[in-house]
Amino acid sequence: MSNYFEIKNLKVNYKTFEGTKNVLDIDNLIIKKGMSYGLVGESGAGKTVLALTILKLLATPPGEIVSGEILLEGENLVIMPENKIRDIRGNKIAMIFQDPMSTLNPVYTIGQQIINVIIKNQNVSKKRALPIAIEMLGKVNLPDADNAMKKYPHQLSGGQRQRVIIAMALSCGAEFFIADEPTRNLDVTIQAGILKLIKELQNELNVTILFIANNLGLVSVACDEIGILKNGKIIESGKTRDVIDNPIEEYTKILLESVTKEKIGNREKENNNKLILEVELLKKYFPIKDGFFQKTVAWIKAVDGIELKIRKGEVLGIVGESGCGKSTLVNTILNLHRPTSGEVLFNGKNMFKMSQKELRKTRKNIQIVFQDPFWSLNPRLLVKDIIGEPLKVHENLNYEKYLEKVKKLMTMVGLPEEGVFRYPHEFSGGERQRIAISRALSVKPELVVLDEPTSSIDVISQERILKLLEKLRKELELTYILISHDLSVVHSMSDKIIVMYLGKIVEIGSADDIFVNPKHPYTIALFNAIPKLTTNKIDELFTLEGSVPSAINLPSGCRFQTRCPEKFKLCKEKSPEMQHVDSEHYASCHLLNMDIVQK
Amino acid sequence: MSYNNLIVNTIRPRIRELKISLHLLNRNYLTRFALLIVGLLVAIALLAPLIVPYPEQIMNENNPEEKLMAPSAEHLFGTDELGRDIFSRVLYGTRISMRTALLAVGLAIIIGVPLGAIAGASGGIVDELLMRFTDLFLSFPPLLLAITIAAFMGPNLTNAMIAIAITWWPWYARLMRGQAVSIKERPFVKAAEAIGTPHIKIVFMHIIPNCISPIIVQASMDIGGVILTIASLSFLGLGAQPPLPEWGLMISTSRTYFMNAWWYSVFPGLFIFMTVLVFNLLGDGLREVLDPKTRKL
Ligand SMILES: Nc1ncnc2c1ncn2[C@@H]1O[C@H](COP(=O)(O)OP(=O)(O)OP(=O)(O)O)[C@@H](O)[C@H]1O
Ligand code: SF4
Ligand SMILES: [Mg+2]
Repeated sequence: MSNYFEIKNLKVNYKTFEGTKNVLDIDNLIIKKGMSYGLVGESGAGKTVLALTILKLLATPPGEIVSGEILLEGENLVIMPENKIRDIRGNKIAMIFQDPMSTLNPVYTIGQQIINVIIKNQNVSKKRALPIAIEMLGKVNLPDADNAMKKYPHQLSGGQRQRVIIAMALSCGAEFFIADEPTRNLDVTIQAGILKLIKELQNELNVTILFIANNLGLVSVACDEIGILKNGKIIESGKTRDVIDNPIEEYTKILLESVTKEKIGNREKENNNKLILEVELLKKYFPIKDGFFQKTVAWIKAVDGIELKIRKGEVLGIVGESGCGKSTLVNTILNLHRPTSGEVLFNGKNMFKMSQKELRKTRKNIQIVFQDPFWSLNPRLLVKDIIGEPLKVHENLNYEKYLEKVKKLMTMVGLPEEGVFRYPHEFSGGERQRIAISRALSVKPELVVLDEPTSSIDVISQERILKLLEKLRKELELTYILISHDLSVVHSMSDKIIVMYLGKIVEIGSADDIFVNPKHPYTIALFNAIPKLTTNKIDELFTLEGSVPSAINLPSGCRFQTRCPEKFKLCKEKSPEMQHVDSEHYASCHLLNMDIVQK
Repeated sequence: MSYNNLIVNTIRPRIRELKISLHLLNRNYLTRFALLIVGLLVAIALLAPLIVPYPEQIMNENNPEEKLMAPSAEHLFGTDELGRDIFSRVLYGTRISMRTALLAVGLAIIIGVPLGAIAGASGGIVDELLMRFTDLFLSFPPLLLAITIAAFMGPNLTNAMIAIAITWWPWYARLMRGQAVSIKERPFVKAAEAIGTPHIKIVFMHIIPNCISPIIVQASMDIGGVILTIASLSFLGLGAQPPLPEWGLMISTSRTYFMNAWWYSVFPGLFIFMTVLVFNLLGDGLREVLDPKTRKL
């Protein structure tokens, strides 16, 4: 078989304020027709630059293709004239971006957009285009295609949007797909579906795929061959299994380890410390207002009756898909939102009944680290003022002492102390996250809430941040609430795990109970949707139908009923109670209630 | 570390940022041109008394030869009906226009920005009240308000400036409020709340500094607009009064002599046109550069 796609000696430079930087230096990369090639690397490795270069979408300047060839069916894309490349870009090669919203036009319905593409590319009338469009949407397994055609992009979920993009590309006759982290913003259950779809396209339509990701697990499941990209160079490549089973480079081994996270926090089972936080029947409803008088017409039940207890020194993990109310829960606990009802006791004192002054003092003891390290630091302040903000509010220090303390905090999280005189944008995502952590720790809090602390940074920095967090927990006797949609992250750190679905806890138990012996169908689905290195065939991945229903019109009976693979008659009628599984392990599913099952 | 070092260390990153900004501003030809001219205008404004060839008020009423002379090597822009050197007067006019515009815009910012920030950051009833109050001011036609103020307080440059500031601040309040509403949802503001930073400090430390870019851009564009408005008010007799060498006033006076002394109205007009243009160009350039998210490249 001849080489369908090939890159030879490609060098790309970036001109920056500091000077010219080589960002891509690829000797050789070959993809055969109908194969899938996975490219893995941490952020900044040059993955997106490569995708843009292939499509000649790289902004020049600051980018510059210094030398090399990119061959598609023997034709060199680098020297191809712009009008010809535009044809190829629209037809033969299709790009699937991380954020599908940026590719779709928000003011037209899905149907209008896909029909337009078909009319343009296949030269058919509007009438003939309609059934083709529906067929295409069927091909990408978009449920209820007829209905979806009438919707606007924002009315679809992230996974559905990604499917629409793929359908549009297919109707242009695309044969070569470049997928740049297409599942990065998606939940695991939905990610599994997209991975399966991509694999299906490859097998059934003989499409060639270049799959770019920062997670080796993902790529290993979806691709025939993989390459490891580091600092713009491919340092190792080969058949997927070969690379995974016998990695040569040290860096590859690190990447492999990052997928198979071992348990970081292994500590004594019994913890009889005092209760630090008790949450009782906490509810947070957001009003939906409509009409001229802004009357409340409905409620979003983001958090709907949560109970939990944390002891000093524990790590409580919270998992669940996007929109299940994880952030709302912790924001309400922290009193950043007014609660609708319920109580939160911190060290035995009711936080919602405190005076402003008392509350400010208590807040000092509960700190939060946010997900997005770009916007969690004020871009206009120097790092010394960011880390020192809590010190300024709560402690009266003279400037010398203040600076000394800030520098100590900076070194504590593994950053150079001169860094305090820099702006946040001069740091990478992982480093910014460290800054956010040191700010949170500067006032010696007792409880730290980590809201997706590692979701927006690459796997390698992720690993380091988690280790740092564990080290700090031991040193400073901290208690953590760790939120993540990544089960492996939660498992590696937590003592106890809560699984949330649509504002409610569906399962709660020790980390090992949940990991080894999950009981609730939702928890099981979450686990089986994660691509692991041992996953040989993509069919082993579990997908959940549909997406999380809206928190406004909750399903009747069990909330998970609309997607549950085990659902039976009663599930629609009656909402399940929390059932005791063993020791501290509870789950809310009718299946666990033997009396009901036998009936 | 010595105290000196501290200051150096704190200032250095700011200078570095400024350098990058200037570098980026410089990359765009139009902006570079605007920057150059604005620099020149500022220099003229500051140094006017030192560089003008003739004192701006010197008159040669007794010497009819000197009146309404066409541009020459001696009088670059010619002379006016009283024999004054128009070149000198236009340069002085730069000083007057720039100072008045800066003061007017500055005043508008000082009133508008904190009000808008507090409205946006507080939300609820405070927001509602403050914004309705601003709407009240927005509903006055600017010229009418200026005329009213001039009518009550007497027409002069200071009153014109006050009138302009009064009609202009609501725009800043609105702009600021819009920004504040979005900035206050940013995690770093939430983080500050979680830390327990007092409300007013959040507004001044976190919200206002992060909304300042669009304000600066707007201010740059507005300086042009304000200069134009001042000129119009003076032209209508509601602003600067003779013998002040204000551009609008000069054009107003020149109307009588338009048929035989084109230079009299053209040169002040040219300066108005150029000033408005370059401040707008500068505003455009600033808009691109000031966003910390896009600037890194
Ligand atoms: N300020 C708000 N106003 C109205 N609705 C909100 C608000 N904040 C959150 N919601 C809604 O509450 C629900 C829960 O949102 P939340 O942000 O807590 O989810 P999450 O589990 O943290 O999701 P993610 O994993 O994406 O961060 C969602 O339906 C969301 O749209
Ligand atoms: S109660 Fe029924 S629908 Fe709900 S999780 Fe259990 S089996 Fe599924
Ligand atoms: Mg969240």
